[in-house]
Amino acid sequence: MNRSTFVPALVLALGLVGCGDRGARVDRQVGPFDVATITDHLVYVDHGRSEAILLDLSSGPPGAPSVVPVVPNPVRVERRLGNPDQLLILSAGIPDEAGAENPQKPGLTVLEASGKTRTFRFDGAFDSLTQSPDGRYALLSFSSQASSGSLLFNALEIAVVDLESESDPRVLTLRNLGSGAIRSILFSPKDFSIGGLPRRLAVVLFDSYFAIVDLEQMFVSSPYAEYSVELLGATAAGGRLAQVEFSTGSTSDGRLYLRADGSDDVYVVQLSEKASTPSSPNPFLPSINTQFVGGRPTDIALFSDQAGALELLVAAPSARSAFVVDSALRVTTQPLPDDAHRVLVYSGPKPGDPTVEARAVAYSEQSSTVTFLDVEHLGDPTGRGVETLQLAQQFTAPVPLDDDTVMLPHVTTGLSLLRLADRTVSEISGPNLGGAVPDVVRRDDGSIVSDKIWLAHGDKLGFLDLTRSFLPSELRVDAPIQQTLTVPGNAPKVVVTHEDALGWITVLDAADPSLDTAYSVRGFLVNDLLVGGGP
Amino acid sequence: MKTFVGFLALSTLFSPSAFAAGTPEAAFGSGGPKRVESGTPADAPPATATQDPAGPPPAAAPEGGAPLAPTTAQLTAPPPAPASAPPVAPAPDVPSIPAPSSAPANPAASAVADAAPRAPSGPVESHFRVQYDTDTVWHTGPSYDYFSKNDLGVSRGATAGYALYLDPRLTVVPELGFGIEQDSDAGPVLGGTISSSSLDAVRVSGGVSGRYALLSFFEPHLRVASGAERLEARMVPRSGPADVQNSQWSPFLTLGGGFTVHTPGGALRTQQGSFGTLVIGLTAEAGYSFAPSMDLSTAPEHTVGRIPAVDAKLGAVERSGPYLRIAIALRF
Repeated sequence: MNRSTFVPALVLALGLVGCGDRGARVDRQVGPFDVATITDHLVYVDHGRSEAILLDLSSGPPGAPSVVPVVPNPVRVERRLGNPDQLLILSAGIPDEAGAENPQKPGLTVLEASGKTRTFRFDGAFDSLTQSPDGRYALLSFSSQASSGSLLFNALEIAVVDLESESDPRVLTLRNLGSGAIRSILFSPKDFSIGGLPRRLAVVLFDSYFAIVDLEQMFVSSPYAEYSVELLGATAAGGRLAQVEFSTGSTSDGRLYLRADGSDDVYVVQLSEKASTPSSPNPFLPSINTQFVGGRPTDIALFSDQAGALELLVAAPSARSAFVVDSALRVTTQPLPDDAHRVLVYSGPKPGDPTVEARAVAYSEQSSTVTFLDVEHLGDPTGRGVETLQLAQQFTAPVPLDDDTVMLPHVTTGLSLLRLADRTVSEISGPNLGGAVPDVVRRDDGSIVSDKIWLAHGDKLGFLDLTRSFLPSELRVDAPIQQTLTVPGNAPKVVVTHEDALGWITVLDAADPSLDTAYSVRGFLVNDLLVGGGP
Repeated sequence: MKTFVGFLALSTLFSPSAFAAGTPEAAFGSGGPKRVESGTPADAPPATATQDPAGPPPAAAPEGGAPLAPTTAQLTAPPPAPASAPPVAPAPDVPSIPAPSSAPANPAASAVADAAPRAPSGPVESHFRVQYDTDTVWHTGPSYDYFSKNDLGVSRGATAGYALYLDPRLTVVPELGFGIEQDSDAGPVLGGTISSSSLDAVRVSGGVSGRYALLSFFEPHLRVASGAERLEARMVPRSGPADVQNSQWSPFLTLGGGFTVHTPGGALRTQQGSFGTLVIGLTAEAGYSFAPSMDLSTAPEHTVGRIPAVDAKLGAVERSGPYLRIAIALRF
């Protein structure tokens, strides 16, 4: 080594002593996030770091957030139905590919407000999650956009998870009767029965057929095979299955009502009890009745009459009528003054008649008219039992807020609030209400926990108090609002998020929103960043 | 530039002339055991013709070399003795000096005499020292990763000292220094969540070092210093109301030891005798720097809004760690 290179080499050598690369965690991707709420907690699910960050909002500003690892690559995050203190996080895992440091199977993480987790693992990287109304079952499936990184892929594979047991998920491949992707999945209500015995069913709708899965039998019988039923009449004219309603009560035991877009019929599927055998593990047998109602149905809804009999209300704008199909499949026709594509059934009184009975609102989106129907008294040629209410604004899809209030967001700006009992409308003007968040929470005894509609626009948070004649109020927070969430709990909160890569929220008391009790939390996404165990 | 200076220093250090002059006896600054330089008035024979008859004889010619030319004084005729004074016989071992003639007896000797250097002005004692420092602290903790692409925090600065104690081998030098550290090359971290970050420090310190002249060009040393540093940490989020920033003054203490290789004493002296006390050296020092950590939170650098806010704690930036100092030193 000559002199000209000696010194630079010496300096370089000394500089390299102790020179270390920074830790890999520094370059880990943070976000994107799914934001959800469970009892007294706000949860940020970090897709990049595969962890859930919980902020305890139960009493004042939170301390350090809890960070809980979840199965990598979350794809769906939902609060568990019927269990507001739990969050379901569906993850795709890490495929075993070249370069993958720690391959993991896909999984479903059940995150509790306490930070405890349970994980269910399976092989398919499902991207769709559907819960039973009581939150006991989660059915995992592939959406039409799903693609698999695995070698073999069956789009009709589903997995059923019993969230109240420790059993492994049950995987089933549905039969393909000709139409590809799953259109929707619906669960029977808790009081659905066949032969007087409660049954928990999931109905998977395809374009031209549907599958009936007995959720309980699926965990008992192995192998298990579902019923797949093709409705040739529905699809002959190019129709596609669109809707299913489950009967409840003893008078219409084990009955499914199906509607298909483009079909003039309603399909009544009767499930009759039978013995379970190894070759036919389902303890019921379906039979199909096709019911022509006199028009092309666009919506169906079930209601119970005063005698407890279950009847089906059918909207058929092609006939400018509504139809009622009783339990004996007799049809009653009621002409309507306007087209009505949808029906919303409720139970309550009406002006001049305090009798609480089944009634309905028939309407069409993008219209400004609603028609009240006394569904138990339809068919009167004088038109009694039909009342039309004209609104000042066209509205979009109604949102039921409670037993007596329906929110009708306007097509343009503002909203109308419809009182069902007195059949009156309150019009609230304001900005576009795409982000309106209804927050109606009642305790089991019926007392009000929260009864508001929240609306964010810019840095202002407006709210309508449903218990005080829709009294509108607003307050201004410190930055534009990205998202508005309600936090369930004994002292419910409303949380608004702000644009900040490090995390920034403002928390308000949902019962009495005020800046005096509001506080902000910042930086919780990078808490303990500089500590060894940090993100 | 640093490389150039280093090369200059080392080139000087390793030049054959430097090695030729670099005997322990010719040690510079702190000095060798004798701290003697040829030609200094204190040790050289008096440059006068009125020599003590018992004084040293004229220098002999080097073996194999040209005869040493007599000095100008030697060529000067002694004053004539008074007429009344009795004749003094010269000392038997002192050769008589012939009377000068109008022409030089030896033309070559005359030429050498004209080119002889002037007498040096004193002993080589370098009290002052200034140096350009590059301090590299090895931050092994994870917190520093968010401010740098590696674990090395580099500060540059200068130190000045004055030797209060000079012993033939040991020198004690109190010193004052400052340094500036700017670490802002971490780039985006957390996938761009933090688009940039910086950690700047300005340091002032005072200390003392003791060095020992082991060889004419090599001196190990020990150093202790303490002072205060003004730290400013900043993170710029990809989005948000403001940058995250914190600054504070905090003390620090460094303990280290190392060595200096330098030009031997007098090696840089010019023909005119200038820079006789100048020394250029390259110092390497390793040790440990003790400093309290700096806490950071996500509090923005200015107030945002009117709603009371709670900010997350990011943790502490660790400041202690082993260090390596490379310095170019000048002594005079």
